[in-house]
This record gives sequence, structure tokens and C-alpha cells, in this order.
Amino acid sequence: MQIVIETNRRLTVKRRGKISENWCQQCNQPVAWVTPEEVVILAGISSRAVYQMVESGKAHFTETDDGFLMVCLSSLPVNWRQSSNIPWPFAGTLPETNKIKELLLQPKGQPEPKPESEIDSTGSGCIPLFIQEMPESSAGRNFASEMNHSSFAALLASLNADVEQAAQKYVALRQRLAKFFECRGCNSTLDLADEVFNRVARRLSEGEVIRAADPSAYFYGVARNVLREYQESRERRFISLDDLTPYETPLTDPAETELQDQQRQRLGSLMDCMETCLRELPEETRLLLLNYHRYEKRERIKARKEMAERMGITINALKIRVHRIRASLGRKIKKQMQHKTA
Amino acid sequence: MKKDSAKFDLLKRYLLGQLAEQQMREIEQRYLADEEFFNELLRVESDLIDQYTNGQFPPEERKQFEDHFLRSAERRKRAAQAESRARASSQSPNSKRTSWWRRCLARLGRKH
Repeated sequence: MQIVIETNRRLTVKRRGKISENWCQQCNQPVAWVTPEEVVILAGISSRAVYQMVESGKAHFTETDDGFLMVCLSSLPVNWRQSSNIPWPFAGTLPETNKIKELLLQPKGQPEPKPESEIDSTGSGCIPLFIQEMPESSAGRNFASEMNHSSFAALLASLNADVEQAAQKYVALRQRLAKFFECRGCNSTLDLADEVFNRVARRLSEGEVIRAADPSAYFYGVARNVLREYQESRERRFISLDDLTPYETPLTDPAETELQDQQRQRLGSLMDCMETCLRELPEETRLLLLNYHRYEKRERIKARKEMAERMGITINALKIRVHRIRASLGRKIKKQMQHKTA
Repeated sequence: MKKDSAKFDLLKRYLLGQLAEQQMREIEQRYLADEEFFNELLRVESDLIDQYTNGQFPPEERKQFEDHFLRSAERRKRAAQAESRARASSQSPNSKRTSWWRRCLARLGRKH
């Protein structure tokens, strides 16, 4: 029997200023507009993905008079809102402030966090930028993860003196640490990234000081220790279906893959035969055939027209000539292939 | 251009687990500190998934990709999604099929 205990940490990051509310022509209603960078933080995706959404028209956008891109919050996919637990959409006009100094952390074993309305009524006048539920422990892992408010504040201070910038660095570093664990073949990568933060926070609260000019080097050192422990404990942990290797749970149908491999091999041997037969052709004929098929779309039409002009024949005559060469080449290739398989 | 392709090759080898431990560490330290480099890594990762789903890997690289890159459940999910997207687009009535003649000759034409 296995008992799985999951706890969650709630991190609320507050945002400076007011989210502009303007008319969205596609939504046909007033909506909240945010910058692409804010979407990155809200949805936890890369800026490239945001721009792709905008380019493909999946996300509504507008440009300010200064030429800055703004994205309509209401147009972003619903699953982003649900998966990242974003308070969505930002209802009504939000209070404006220049004072952002609050990062709320709900450590393990503490009462449930207050609802958003209560958090805002503390008088801080801050706007919740995002709330992320972060699973803190996974089944079978024996990481001691304790972080309280003061140690988390110390952790943020080690990243940047300004709380807002520190929070942004925290989010970015968490994503990169998760990628590091992913590249090293780990699962539950965000859990492992959180474990790194827990350890650094604990050390900082014990009085340790990060002396490196770039704190990421320090985090990397800790991450390597976490990785080593993960690799050592991996054998002992149960393996979920998601953790099985591709050979244990093939991504594709093996029969289909085999068929594709056979087709690829056949195409490969056809290419070899074609290359051999092409070499046997007179150089002029070979170049004619290759140049005839070299380009794509408009360039092809242009190139063929030029070839016909150079040769002093019509396009149709050129087509017939190439067709004949191809037919003769096809016969040779067929013969070679038969010879190969025999 | 040369520099870009060298960087792409290095990151590709990193993602396929073909680098020595010391080189891996250097890359990891760099992308933890450098946002631009991290974004480059994400781009290469997407490209590799595309190449895999389009069957553009030679057999040995394909095996390496499956053995190393697809070890993480998250990446397997992404690859499966890309694969189903590729399948959907290849089955769409608008997608044009190129004859093997044309493909082979175009490839040989580039080679010669």
C-alpha cells in the first residue's frame, strides 16, 4: 500500500499600476489589455508562444500609439486560465498603486489562504498579478521541504533588492531549473525546482550568504545536489505510467513505425539507385533533369522558362524532353531495384 | 550564420545527451543565467520535436532522441501533440503530396 500526501504552496505576486481596460473589436466588449511579457508570467508560457498566438490570430491584440503590443486577456485560451489558476478575467477597474511590496507565501501546515477579495482588502492597494498553486511534494520522495515567510523573503532578497524584480527572477529561474531537471531526464521537474528553492531558502535563513556575483550559479550548485539525490532515489521510487520510457510505452504504434521505417529505407535505396543511374547519364542531360526539378513554386516556373529560352525551345518542348529522359531513367532505376532485391 | 549553426548544433547535442558532463554543465550554467540563451534552447527543442515528428531524423539519431530526449513525461506529451498535429495537417485535403521523383531529384539537385 502506498500513501500519497500532497501539499500546496500558494504564491501571490502583486502588480504595479492599473490594467488598462479598453474596447476589443473582436470580443465586442471592454476587456483588460496586458503586455506580452505579462501574458508570459500569467500563463507560464514562453514569449515565443505568445507572439505565435498573436500572429496566428488566436489571441486578440492591439497596438498603442507608441507602437507597443497589447494582448486582450479575454481572448487567451481558457485552459491557460484554469491550469495556472489565474484570477480571470480581471473584473472591473483595479486600484492603482506604486507600492508593490507584497509576496504572500502560504507555507505548509498553515490555514487556507484568504480569498482574493480579502487579500485585496488589506489596504495594500496591490493588484494580484498571478496566483500559482505549486505542488510541494511528490509521492515517494523524501525531501524535507520547509519554507516560511521570512526564509522566502530572504530568498527573494538574494535575487534582487526590489521585490517585484525578485519575483520575476524567481519565476524565470524556476522555469529554467525545471528545464535543467527535464534535460537530465527527471520527472516532476517543477517539484524539483521548488526543492532547490526550499534548500536555498533554508540555508539563507541559517545565515549563509550567496557570495557569487550571479546567484544562478549558487542555485545551480544546489540543483546538482538535488539531481544527484533524485538519481540515487529513482530506483527505489515507484514508477508511474507517465514515467515509463518510450520503449515501455511507445509514443507511436510500433507497427506503424516499422512501416514508416520500411518506406524510408525504400526511399533511401531508390535515391541510391537514382544517383547511380544519374551518374551514367551524359552531363548535359543530367544537369537538365536536375535543374528542371531544382526549385519550388514561382522560382521553378521562372527557372524553367529561362532554361527553355536558353535552349531555344518552347516550354512544352522542354517538358516533353524531360519526360523522355525521366522515362528512360525510370526504366533503368526499375531494373537496378529488381537487381538489388533479387 | 556559422555561429548560429554551431550554437544550434551544440544545443542539439546537449538535448540529445551527446555531450560530455563538463560541456553539459557549461551549457546549463549559461542558460540559467542568460535569458537569450535559454530561449535559444527552447527554440532548438521545438525544432527537434518537429524534426522527429516529421521523420527527418536518421535512425541512430531517432533512437538517441527516444532514449534521451523523450525520457521526460512532459516532452513525450509535447511530442505526441506535435505528432497528432502533423498527422492532422498531412491528412488535410489542402496538403499537396509531392511525387517521390520530385523529392529525390530536388534532393540530388541540391547535392550536385
